[in-house]
Amino acid sequence: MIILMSYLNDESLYREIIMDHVKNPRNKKTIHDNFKSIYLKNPSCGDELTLYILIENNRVVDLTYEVVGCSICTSSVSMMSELLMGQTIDDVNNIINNFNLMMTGSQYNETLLGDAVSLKGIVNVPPRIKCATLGYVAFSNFLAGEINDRL
Amino acid sequence: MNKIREFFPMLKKDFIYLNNAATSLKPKQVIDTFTDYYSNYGVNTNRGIDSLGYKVTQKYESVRDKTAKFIGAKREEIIFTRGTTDSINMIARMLESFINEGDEIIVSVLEHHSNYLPWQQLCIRKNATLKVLDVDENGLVRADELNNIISNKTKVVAINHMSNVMGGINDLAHLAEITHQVNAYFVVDGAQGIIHELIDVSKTAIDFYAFSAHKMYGPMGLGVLYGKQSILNNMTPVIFGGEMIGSFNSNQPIYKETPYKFEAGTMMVPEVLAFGQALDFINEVGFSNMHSQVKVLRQYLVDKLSQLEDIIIYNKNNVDSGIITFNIKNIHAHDIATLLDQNNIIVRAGHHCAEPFMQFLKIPATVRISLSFYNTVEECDKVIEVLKGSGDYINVLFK
Repeated sequence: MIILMSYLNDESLYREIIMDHVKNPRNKKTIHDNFKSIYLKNPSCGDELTLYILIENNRVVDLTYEVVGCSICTSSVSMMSELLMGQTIDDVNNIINNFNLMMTGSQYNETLLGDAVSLKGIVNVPPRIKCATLGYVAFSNFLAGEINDRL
Repeated sequence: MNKIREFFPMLKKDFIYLNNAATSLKPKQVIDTFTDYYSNYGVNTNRGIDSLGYKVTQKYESVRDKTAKFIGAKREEIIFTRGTTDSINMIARMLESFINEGDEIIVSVLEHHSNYLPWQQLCIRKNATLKVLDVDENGLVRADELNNIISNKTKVVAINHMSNVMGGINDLAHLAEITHQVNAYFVVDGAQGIIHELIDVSKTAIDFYAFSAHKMYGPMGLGVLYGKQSILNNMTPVIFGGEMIGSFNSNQPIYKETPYKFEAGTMMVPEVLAFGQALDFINEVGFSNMHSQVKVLRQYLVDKLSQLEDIIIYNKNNVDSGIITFNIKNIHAHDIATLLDQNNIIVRAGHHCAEPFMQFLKIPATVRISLSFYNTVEECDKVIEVLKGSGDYINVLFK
């Protein structure tokens, strides 16, 4: 019974978190000065994302974006922007790695993922995993040097 | 109706299939053709002199006859291809030698990528200009618009019979007439139209008509390219290989007659035979019976959907298709599709390979329901029931 209660509480909390990010996306704006950008589109569904990233001294000092997509995609990018802000590149990689582990149903470190933990149910909706990971894939591509300057 | 549903193994599964514009389900006789072919006479057509090869060639060619009869063509005018996309790419390649720098090709903004990109690429290769026609609020190509932009430089007009997003039926006869006033070729993407409006190419001025077997209860991997015989006779093949030449010559071979010169290499024989079964099935059930059933269902579902709060239906007036394209305000199409999917209802959400039109509408995506004659009122009711709870679309993450 206690487990059930805790699950229900989690569920209502997660719902609230996701809907909050859908309705009030964080850091969603276009900033151009000094920022590098990367554009990524999910060709199968048409979701589009541009991340604007400012890295100084090996740390993400600012991260904004434009996104057109579903609730999962947009809320996930919003959560990611909060998570990665201020992190070192090593920490960013660690967070991305753990988010991907969560998406594949593997063991992951929940404490690293903040609000993004609310999306863990997506593992049960496989066609939508690509929506939740779009932002993380874009950031990984950015770090891998696939910078797409549309500025 | 229940008896007809019995023919479709996939209709016995635990889901509601409302994505028929993407591909229709297949009746058992179509499916069984594959086992029959590979078990009993699975050899090449048109090769050698063995009796097995003769038998399968007879069967293969009889489907060409059936296909020709279905659209009012001559057998020489039916080329088997890999699908609508393949057919249109083939025409674009075949017409390449007729296109010069500065010429124009016209498509509509509502073309599927399969009737847009081959022409765009042809224009790039030949330094020609691609002109894009706007459509009216029902997604139909306007004859006066075509009249306005067509010119003596226009060499091809390529238009859909029925849009896969909007489901309206274009006035092909009229558009063909305008096209021919400047001696351009009139090419029709019939992928959707073929199953919703019977076409008689002998009575129209359509030069090329492309369609796929899999949207008409037939197998995937097979398409048809119809071309007027007088045009095909003068066209050079674009795919070269076995069984398409009459005699070999080290300088230039002599090609076979149409359609054989256009069917190089081993063809998709069991797919063709299965398509023959699909055509028989359509004829047995009756094209007009199928169509009227779809119309009744569509009207029923549109009426019910219209009562939902915050729904936007983009193609209410196009009553001749099974296609209903809509959005629910403030909920992304993919969220609606996932909600339906979690309730075992299969629809399509996204840009429908029609990004030019999505940009035209200034929306990223829509939900598309597409009905077939085997769908039921109960299935439509289930859709409505699920959509009534669409405010809780986030539920899908917590099941």
